[in-house]
Amino acid sequence: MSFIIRKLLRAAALCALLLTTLLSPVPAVDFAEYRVKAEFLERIAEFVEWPAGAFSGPEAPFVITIAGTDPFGHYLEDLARTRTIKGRAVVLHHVEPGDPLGACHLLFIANSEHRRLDEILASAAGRAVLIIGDGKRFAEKGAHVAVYRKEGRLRFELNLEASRRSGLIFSSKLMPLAAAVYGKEGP
Amino acid sequence: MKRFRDIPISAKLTLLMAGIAVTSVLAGFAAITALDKRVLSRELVKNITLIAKMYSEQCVADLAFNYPDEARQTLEKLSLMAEINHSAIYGKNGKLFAYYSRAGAYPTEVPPDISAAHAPRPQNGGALDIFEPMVYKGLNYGTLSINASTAELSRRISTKIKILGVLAVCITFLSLFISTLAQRLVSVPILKLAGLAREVAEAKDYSMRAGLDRGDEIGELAAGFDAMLSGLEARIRERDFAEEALRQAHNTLEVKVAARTEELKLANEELEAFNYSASHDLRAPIRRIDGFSALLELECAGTINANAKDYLARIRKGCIQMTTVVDDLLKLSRIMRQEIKFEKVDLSELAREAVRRLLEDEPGRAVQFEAAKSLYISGDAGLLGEVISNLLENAWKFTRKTENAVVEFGAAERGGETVYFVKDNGKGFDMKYSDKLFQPFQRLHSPDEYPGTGVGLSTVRRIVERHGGRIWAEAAEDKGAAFYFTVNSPKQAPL
Repeated sequence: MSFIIRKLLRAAALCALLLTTLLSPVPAVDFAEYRVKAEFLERIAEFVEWPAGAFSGPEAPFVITIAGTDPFGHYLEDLARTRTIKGRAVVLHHVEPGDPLGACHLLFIANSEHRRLDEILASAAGRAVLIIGDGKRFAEKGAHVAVYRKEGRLRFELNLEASRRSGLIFSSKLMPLAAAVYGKEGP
Repeated sequence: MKRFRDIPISAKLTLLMAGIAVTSVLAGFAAITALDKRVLSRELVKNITLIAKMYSEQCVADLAFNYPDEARQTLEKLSLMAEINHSAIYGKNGKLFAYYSRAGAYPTEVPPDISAAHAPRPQNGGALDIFEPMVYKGLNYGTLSINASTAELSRRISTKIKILGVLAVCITFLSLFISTLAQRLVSVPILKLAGLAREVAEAKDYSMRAGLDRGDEIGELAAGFDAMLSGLEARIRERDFAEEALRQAHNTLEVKVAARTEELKLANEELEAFNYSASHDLRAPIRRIDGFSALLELECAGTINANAKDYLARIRKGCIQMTTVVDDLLKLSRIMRQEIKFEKVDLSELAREAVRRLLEDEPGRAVQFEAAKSLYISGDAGLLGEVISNLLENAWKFTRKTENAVVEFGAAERGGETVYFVKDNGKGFDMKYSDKLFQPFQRLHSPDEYPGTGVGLSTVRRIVERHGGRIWAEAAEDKGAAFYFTVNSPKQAPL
């Protein structure tokens, strides 16, 4: 009996440990959530293929542009300083409404820019720019990726049709992980 | 324990062949087993590594985007692989991200971080850890580990060893059986040869043959053996023939010799018997003739004329002569039969004695006699005395008409032996008659001129021969004669 109890206790402890490990990226405050989202930007960039002409040269940096209010605090700046994406240095830009997009590889649309989505999408149309929206609805509405928090965990949706139009290719490994995939049927 | 070199050749060959076969089979099996073990464990490592690569590929996005449930679900598909105890994914920070553990597998606990997974820990019945980095597009997101049991591997190897063991036992028996059959090719002819050699040695029968017609060394050996036997047989046959011939020749010779000896003996005995009886039987009639002649002379002295008286005197003279002959013959016969008594004899003393007697008989003779002193020999004194006196009498007799007669007795060395001689300067004789000299009744001079019976020298020769010696004469007419004799040894005289 005591053996089984001990085993159960041990399993419970293990579960608790695992649970805390799993839950640790989930932020208690908003800042922690955006630390995870910053990581997400880096990760998903590695799972997407840009077309050959997207970078001007081998030394060209990877440019992340944020549309709307920057929700990352210092997390994304730290990341840009300490890490590389696709083997390239990371450069952060901010774009104000009405400004031209400029050189850009990843466009992060803040949740607040939901109303201006079509305008922002139009500014990046036809360019090899990965558009990630901060909120569940963005993918359905035409962004390539929507990233959001659900039940304390980070989830994402993909829009394959939009990404195909931009000449970007998602890794097949992303499909089973995505909560939803739009525009699956190819032309 | 019997030493290997002493056991029979058939057993030796069987053991050798079977030993070689079993040793090589065992060595081969050992090599196969070692190779199998290596190949199997390499295969296991390869398979597990492949699985680890596939799963790390599959789970890399789960890890990258923090989907532990999906990763766990993927890992749980490993339950199809019975040998996998557990599999775990560790994040870049080394913490356990997701894992699968097979129910009842040992060790049940999955290491909580990557360093614990790398650390050595007890593995029940043997297990191996495979670590595979989880990489996507050149970026490392963590590590996937698989712990696989090697019990199946051990089981397969031990099964294989058991099968090989059974096979080795079968092969041992088979090789024993085959080598028992095969060794006969070599050992049977050798054993046959050995048996033949033993038989030949025991029975001494060299007519046996191996008769092995083979092209190999054993055939050569057998042929050599047969050739040796034929050689021996031929040699022995030759030897037997020679021995038989020799034996027969010997026998024939002995028979012949015996027959001749017997004949000779008989002839001699007859001759002697005749001699004796004739001599003996002649004596009485002679004495009667002499006696009656004497009576006639006496009683008729007045009535018969001078012629008749002369006749009677002649008859009586013949009788005396005849009596002398008979006496000499009897003496010869006696000498033939008489046994020789060997003693030390001084020949010069015997010579002087004889001369003294001769001087007594004829005191008027003037003969110069010279004799060597002290000639000692071994022999019969009486018979040797007869020899000396006979020879001296002869010398005396044949110097009767010689002036300044000289008679000499002495000894000389001739051809390594001592020769005794009696020399005179008397009448002598012609050497062409010398072979008749020593035969009885052979005379070289007329009895009127030199009286004698012709028996004396014959007697002398007999005596000398019975003493193992020889006698011969050297002479010339009117130049004197010399008689030589030898006396060999104190041996029995030849037959």
